[in-house]
Amino acid sequence: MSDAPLLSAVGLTKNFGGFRALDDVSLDLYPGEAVGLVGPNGSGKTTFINVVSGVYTASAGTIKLRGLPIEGLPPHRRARLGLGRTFQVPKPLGNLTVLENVQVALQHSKSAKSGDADPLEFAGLAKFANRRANSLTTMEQKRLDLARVLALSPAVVLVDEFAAGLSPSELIDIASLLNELRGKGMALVVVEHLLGFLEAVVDRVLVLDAGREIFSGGLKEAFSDDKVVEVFLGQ
Amino acid sequence: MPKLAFGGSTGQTGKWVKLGWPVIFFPVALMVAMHVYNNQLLLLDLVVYLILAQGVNIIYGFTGYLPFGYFGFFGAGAYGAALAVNYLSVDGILAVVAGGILAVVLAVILIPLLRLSGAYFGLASLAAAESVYLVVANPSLASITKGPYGVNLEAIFNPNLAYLVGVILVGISIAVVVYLRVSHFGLSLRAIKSDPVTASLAGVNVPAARSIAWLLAAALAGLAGGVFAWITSVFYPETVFSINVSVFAIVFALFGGVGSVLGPILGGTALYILYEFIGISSPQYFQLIYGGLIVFLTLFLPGGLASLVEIFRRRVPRSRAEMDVSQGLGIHAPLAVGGRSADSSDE
Repeated sequence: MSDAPLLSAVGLTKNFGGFRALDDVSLDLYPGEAVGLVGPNGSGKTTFINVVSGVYTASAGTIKLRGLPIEGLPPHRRARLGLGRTFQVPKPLGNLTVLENVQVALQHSKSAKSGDADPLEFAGLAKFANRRANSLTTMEQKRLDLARVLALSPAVVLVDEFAAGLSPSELIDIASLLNELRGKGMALVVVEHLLGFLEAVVDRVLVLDAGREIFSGGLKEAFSDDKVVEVFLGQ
Repeated sequence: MPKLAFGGSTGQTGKWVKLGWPVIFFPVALMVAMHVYNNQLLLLDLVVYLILAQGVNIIYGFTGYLPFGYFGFFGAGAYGAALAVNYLSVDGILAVVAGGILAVVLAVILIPLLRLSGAYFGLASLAAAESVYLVVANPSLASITKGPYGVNLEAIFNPNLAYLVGVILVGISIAVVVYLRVSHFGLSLRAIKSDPVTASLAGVNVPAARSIAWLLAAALAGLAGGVFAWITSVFYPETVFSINVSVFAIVFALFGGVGSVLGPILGGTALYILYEFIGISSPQYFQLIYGGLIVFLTLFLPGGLASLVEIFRRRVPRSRAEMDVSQGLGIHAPLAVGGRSADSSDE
């Protein structure tokens, strides 16, 4: 593992009026590393993804991508610098074809090279290249989200509940895809409720509750931690 | 990633040839029409509305912003031309350019409206255009704008030259739309129309791209307003700052099919021919048929006339359709593989 983190988020805080959705959360992410973001509903997992990807502006804290401060940058600048994200509910560019979905990202990528793998081939969507994106199944649209992210040649991929609603065989496929990305040196933040899926993909987890970090470490250790058990199972 | 590589200059040239023929064809047809058709006033109006319909096509067809207040740019263009003639003593062509510039200046001021979306944007743009009208028509500003008393541009009256300039602008407006169909920038705009958040996270600079589309649409409306002012010579604030201008431009664009090159031209021409046959002799039936047509299209052909081509294409044998794609006959195919567009067709 390299000494310099690809992504370094320090003291991230997000307020919505008087409500603090994210409270002083920090995370360092290294090349090839995958970190799971775990917590009950409303704990701030997706808010963290939104703040890092630029959909929301952080109320406090800093974010560095490859050492470059990005907390003041709009989402498109972060994407061009190599920060990709997928969505819990897939968000294809529905009126465009599958191919055009990927090409939109490709034309803005600052690090895509001619030798890179074809994102559509990688995501198993090459045969649908000329199909309208909103005619795909949910699973195929999730794969398209991933392909569009890959077209950016990202350093860091934020994966928001990708496994939700997938069948066991699809879960195995997706876990395999994500591990392949790690093998290419990309770092992943994986928001997920399915523990089996997390076990297959991540090295460690960050557990959030009410916007605050309550645990950081291995997945197995997390569920022997008193605070985590209390949050998930009650007293 | 060879399959995803963008087309080189040869590919782009091929797409321009494939989609660009209307840039020459329609201006030539309009010039011929002037010599074989005796109602010149109707043709002059048609030219103005074809430009406006393509302007609506750019901002609505490519980015999804429906500008009910589009007439504000048209009026600004007409008054920009009038001010340039009255205070700078310019000729007709420079007056039209001045109209375009004033409309762009107004569009720059109104860029913050693009933070809104859907009906909110439509209503805000309408309110902004009405505000401009009230300023122009204000009797207190009569020394500058002539207020409610109207503008007289008889000094530069030259309908033939004005028509020629209008026809050239029709060609330019079509060329802009062809560019949007074949370019990376146009693909970015279509991504914004589909989902601005996803587009942004795919690297599209959404505020900049939609602002450019907004300015392009405003420039076309301003230029059209300048031509209208030149052609009519005498007009009043309520003539050019009329919501009917927006309504007709939007209906023409929607009738033909937005997001395509041919749609607004087909829609504008078809509705104008209808107007010629029925509108003048029996205006009451014209309104009825017009309304019925709009309802029919909304229910059964929401993609407009241009979508008929796509429907026809789906019915041709599969092998033929695939051959078309492989030969790069995709509707806009901005990229090398010749992907078939999911939007309305141009062919």
